Amino acid sequence: MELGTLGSILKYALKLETSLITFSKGVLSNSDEPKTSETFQELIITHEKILKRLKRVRHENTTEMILEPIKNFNSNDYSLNELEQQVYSEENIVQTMKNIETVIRDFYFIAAEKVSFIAEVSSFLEDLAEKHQENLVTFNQPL
Amino acid sequence: MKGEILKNYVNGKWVESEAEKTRDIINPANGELLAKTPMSTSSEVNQAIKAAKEAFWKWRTTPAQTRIRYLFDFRDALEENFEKLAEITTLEHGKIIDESIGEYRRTIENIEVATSIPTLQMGYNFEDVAAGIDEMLIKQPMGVFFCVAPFNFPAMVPAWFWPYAIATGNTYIVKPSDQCPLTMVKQFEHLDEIGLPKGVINLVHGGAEAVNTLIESPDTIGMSFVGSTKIGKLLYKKCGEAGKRVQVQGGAKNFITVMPDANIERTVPNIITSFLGNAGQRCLAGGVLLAIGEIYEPLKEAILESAQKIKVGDGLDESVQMGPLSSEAGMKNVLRFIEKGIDEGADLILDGRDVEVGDKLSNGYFIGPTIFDKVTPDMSIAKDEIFGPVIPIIKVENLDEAIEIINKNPYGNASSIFTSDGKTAREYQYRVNAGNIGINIGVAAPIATFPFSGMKDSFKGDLHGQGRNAVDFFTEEKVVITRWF
Repeated sequence: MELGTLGSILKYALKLETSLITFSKGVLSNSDEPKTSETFQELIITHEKILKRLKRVRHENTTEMILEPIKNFNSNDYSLNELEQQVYSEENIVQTMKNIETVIRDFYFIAAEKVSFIAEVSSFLEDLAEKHQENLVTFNQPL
Repeated sequence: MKGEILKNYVNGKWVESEAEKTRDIINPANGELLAKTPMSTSSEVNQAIKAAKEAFWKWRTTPAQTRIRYLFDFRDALEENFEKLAEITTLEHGKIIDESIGEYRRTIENIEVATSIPTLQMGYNFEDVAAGIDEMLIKQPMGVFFCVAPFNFPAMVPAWFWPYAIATGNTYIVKPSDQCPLTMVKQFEHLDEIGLPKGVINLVHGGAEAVNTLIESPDTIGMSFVGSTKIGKLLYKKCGEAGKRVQVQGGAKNFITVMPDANIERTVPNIITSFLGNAGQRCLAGGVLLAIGEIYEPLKEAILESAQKIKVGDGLDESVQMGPLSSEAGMKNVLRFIEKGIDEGADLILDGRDVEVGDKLSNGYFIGPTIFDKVTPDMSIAKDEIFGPVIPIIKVENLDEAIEIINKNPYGNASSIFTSDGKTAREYQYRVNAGNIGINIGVAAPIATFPFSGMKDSFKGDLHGQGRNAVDFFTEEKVVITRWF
C-alpha cells in the first residue's frame, strides 16, 4: 500500500511493531533456553511501550489538515509476511530477528525523512530507527 | 447497521422513534445506504426536554468535582476507541481518516478543558466594599440547553458546547446533524456506558420540527447552533423572540492573503490544506486566495502543481488525501458554483469535475481540486461560500486593496496572511474584520481554551463556543452582598 499520509505511515509502524511483538511472544512460548527467554521477555516489554507511544503519537499528531503530499513510500517494500510461515527453531530465530529488525529499522529511517515537516514526529521515528539498530546489534551476537 | 432507523437517547435509555419520516444516511464515497435518521416529533422532543428538566436540580447540586469525573471517564472511553470512532466519522462524512483522527483529537481537547470547570466556574469576592459589608459573584448553572449541530464536524462541534454545559451543572440535549448522526450515536453509546445520571444528556434526531420544539419550549434556556447563515439568522430571531440565550455560528468566506515576501515553499502546503482539507467543507476553509503583486505568477504555478498531485478517493483508504463531498446536494451545489465561475468569465485552470476515482466509487460524490484564475471580487465564486474544494485566485496590487475586498464581504469567520514582515502581519490582524486571524497559518482554528470566534454574518450572539466563553454562556452570574449584625 502507498503510504501517502502521516496517518498511514504511523499505522503501518504500529503494524510492524505488533508483528515484532507477536513473533517475540511466539519465540518465548516455544523456547527452553533461559538466555533466549530473557532476551525476548525484555524485547516484548520494550516494544509494548513503544507501541503505546506510537499510538499516542498517531492520535496527537495526525490532524484534520492534509500536509505535504508524501511520495515514493510503499509498505510493500517493508513487508514482514515471512513471519506467517515462521517455525520457531533456535537455529532460525536469530536470522529471522535480524531480518525483521533490518526491515523495521530501514522503514523508520525512511519514514523519519518523509515526515520531516513535523519535526517532533520525525525525531521520534529516528529514535525508533536507532532502537531497532541497537536490537540488530544484539542479534548479531550469539544469544 | 444497513437501513436501521436510529434511536434517540432519552432519560438514560435508547428509545425507538415514532416518527414516520426518515432521512437516509449515505456513505458519500460509494452512495451506499448506512442507516436512517428519524425526524423525531414534537412529542418525542418534549420527552427529552422533560427528562433534562427533571434531572437538572439533582445534577446542579452534584459537586463539580464529581460532575467532571464523568467527563474524565468519557475522555478515556474516546481514547480507547479512538480508531473505531474515527472510522465511523469517515464512513458517514467522507473526510479522510487522518482528518477524522484530527477531529477526534479536537473533540477530546474540549472535554479536557471542560474538566477544569472547578477552576473556570469560580466566581470572585471582595471584602469591605463598605464598612462590614462583603460582596461576591457566583456563576450558577441555569437549566436545559441544547445544540443544533452541523454535518461537517459531527464529533467536534457538539463538543464545543455540551461538555461545558454539563460540567457547569446544566443538563443537555444534542440534536445532531440528520445527515451525519452516527458519530454522535457512537459517542452516546460510550456516554451510556459511563453511567451519567439519567436525563443529564440526551440525544434527539430530527429536522425542523425538532429544532422548533426545542426553541419554543418554555423549559429550555438556550441554543448553540452551527450551520448556514441563512438558517442561523432565522433561528437567532426565533430564539430572541422566545427569550433564549443563543450563539449562532454561520457561514464563511475566508480570504487568504499572500504577500510578495511570503515563503512560497512553506506557504503552499498551508494553502492546499486550507482550501482542500475536509474537501473544502470547513467553516475555516480558505475561500479566496488574494495574491499580491509579483508573487501572483509563481504562487499560482506552485498551487496548481501541488493541487494536481492530491489523491482523491475513499477516506478509509489511508493513501488518499482528499475524500468526497458529504452529500449529493453538497456536490451539486459545488458543481453549480463551478458553472457560475465559468459563466462569469473566470479562467478554470484546474477542473475537478471529471476526477478519476475508479469504478467502485462511481456512485460517490467526488469533485477533485478545482482552481479558478483571473477571478474578480464581484464574481459569485469570490463572494459566496462554496463549501467545496475550489480555489479562486484574485490578483491584487497591494495590502490596502486586499483588506478592502475582505472587509467588504459580509462574512467574517477567518482570514489569514502569509508574510515574512511583522509590521504587515500586525496591520492585517488590526484592520481585518474576521474573528479568527491566521498569520502564516492556513486554518486559523483556535484550540479549546480559546473561543471559536467569528464576526459579521459568520456569528450572531455574544459568547462563542469553547473555553471561557462557553463557561460564561452556560452560567448566570449572581452577586451576593453580605452584612452580619
